[in-house]
Amino acid sequence: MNNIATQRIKREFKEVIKSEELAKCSIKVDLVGDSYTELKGEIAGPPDTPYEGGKFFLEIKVPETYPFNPPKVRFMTKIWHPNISSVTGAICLDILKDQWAAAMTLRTVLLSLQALMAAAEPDDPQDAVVAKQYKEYPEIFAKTASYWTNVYAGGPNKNTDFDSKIQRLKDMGIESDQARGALSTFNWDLERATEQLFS
Amino acid sequence: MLSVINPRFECSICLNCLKDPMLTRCGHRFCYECIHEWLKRQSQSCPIDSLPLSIDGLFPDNYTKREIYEQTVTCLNNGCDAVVPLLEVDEHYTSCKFNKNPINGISDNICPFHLIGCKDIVKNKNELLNHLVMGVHRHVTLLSKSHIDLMNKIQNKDNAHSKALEATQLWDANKDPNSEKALMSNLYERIVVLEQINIEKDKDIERLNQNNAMKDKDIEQLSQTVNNLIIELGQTQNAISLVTCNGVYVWRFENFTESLKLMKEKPLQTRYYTPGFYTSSAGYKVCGRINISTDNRNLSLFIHMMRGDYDDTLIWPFSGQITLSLIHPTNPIQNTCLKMQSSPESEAFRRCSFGNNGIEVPPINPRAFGYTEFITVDEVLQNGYIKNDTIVIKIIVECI
Repeated sequence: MNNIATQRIKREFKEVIKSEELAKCSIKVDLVGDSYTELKGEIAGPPDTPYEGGKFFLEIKVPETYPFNPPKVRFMTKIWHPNISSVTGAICLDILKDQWAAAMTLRTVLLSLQALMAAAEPDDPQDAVVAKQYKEYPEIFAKTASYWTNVYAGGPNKNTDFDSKIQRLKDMGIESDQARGALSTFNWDLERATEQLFS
Repeated sequence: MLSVINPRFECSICLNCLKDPMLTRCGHRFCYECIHEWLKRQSQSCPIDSLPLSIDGLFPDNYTKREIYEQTVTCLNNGCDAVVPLLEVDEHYTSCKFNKNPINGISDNICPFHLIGCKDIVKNKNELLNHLVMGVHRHVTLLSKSHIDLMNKIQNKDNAHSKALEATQLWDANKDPNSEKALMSNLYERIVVLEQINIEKDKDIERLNQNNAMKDKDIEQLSQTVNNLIIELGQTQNAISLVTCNGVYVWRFENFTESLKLMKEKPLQTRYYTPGFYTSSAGYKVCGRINISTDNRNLSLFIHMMRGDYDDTLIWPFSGQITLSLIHPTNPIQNTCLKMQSSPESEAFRRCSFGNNGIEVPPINPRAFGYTEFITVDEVLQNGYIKNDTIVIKIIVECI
């Protein structure tokens, strides 16, 4: 990695470590190895959202050309959100693409992601299925997102109804992640989910 | 080790100290290289506020550049007290002797023979142990090689050192720190230094003397000014007393003998006047006059109306009572006192103003009112009116 990228990440690393957000356990960055090319981010689910109480981990890859090109960021923790792929964790956020500016830092990126979690943009979706549910069945969306937060990110809101539906599919030999995905996609309609899984 | 930079001097792209700072049209600073690199790669916009920006919109910010050149920081490493220019901080930290070198410590993934050239990379402790066991031969070779290098280096240094030593001995062979010569030369140096100090002190004294002289001059000027002010104050007080005397003027006519002689010699030309005084504040302005009568035997005493500051507001002709007294210095009974009323017909009580043809009339009414034969000269001389060659005349002008 070239000198400028490393130098910068080192400085940013210090910045995040010193930041208020770290003190409030809101965002965090860790090294993965010694190279400074790969980092692990952590965001707390913003309050008053279905993600509240969850801890979301991010994979951050710093390109050679950083900060002239944005870092590549992906959710490692599975999340139900219109702008984040429920399968791959890929993020649709303008500043990680064409709106990137060299003055932005890991800290601003993580804070922007936190803001994105609090205010989704369903008209510019990454995950069309989630976006559709968000627009058409906001209540189901909120329950699903909250449930995912509970299962994958350690959130507090359990949902026994959803659990039992998943158990039904597991009994049919379906893996739990797959079952959860299918049920979430079909607004927790067991019949349609089953139909899709076995078609 | 990284330093803390004043945010003003930080480039938002590399987060380092600005190198060849460039100022954008929108007022942000970046390193020359950073902002050019950014504009080359990405959309033509400012990295901070995303306003449109092209290379034409960049200017070298030499003011900030100079400021940065003047900044220095102290090395934060324990034991190092180097003060380095801000721009060279990173270079310093990479070479600072007092860096805590992580490579020297025990680490799980770096070969301890790293310093002498082992370039193998290991992933964990087990691999490291394995590497150490397997690489004994290589490590020994590296060690002996570095040992030979070190010996060579030491020898070179020794050679250089002995040459330098030889050179100094040739240069001043007699130099022995304990000898008298050394003492003399030390003393001589000391004398030179002291002389230097002495000269500087002399210069200081000279400068102080000059300062003193200047101060003295200032003081002289100031005392002159104070004197002038005192005189002015006296004049002002006199002027005020003439306004606030309420028409009573005590005329101490000094040098009487001399004046009398002059009056006798040229009875028509020699007249003495009092300064103008006012009958009240904002009243009529009048003055007294003394001269000798044409027969040279009597003193004449008159008053003149003068042009005053309040003439516009007064009623003309003047109407009132005038008392003229010659005061006896010891016996009040012998005071010569004469009273007279103003007469409206007399020219003497008219307002003294501008003439008909715009010709300015003198500030005194040429016509006087009083007594041509107020008292005989003989009486004045014989009846003890003169004290200290001074006679005292009291004039009272009252309005009615």
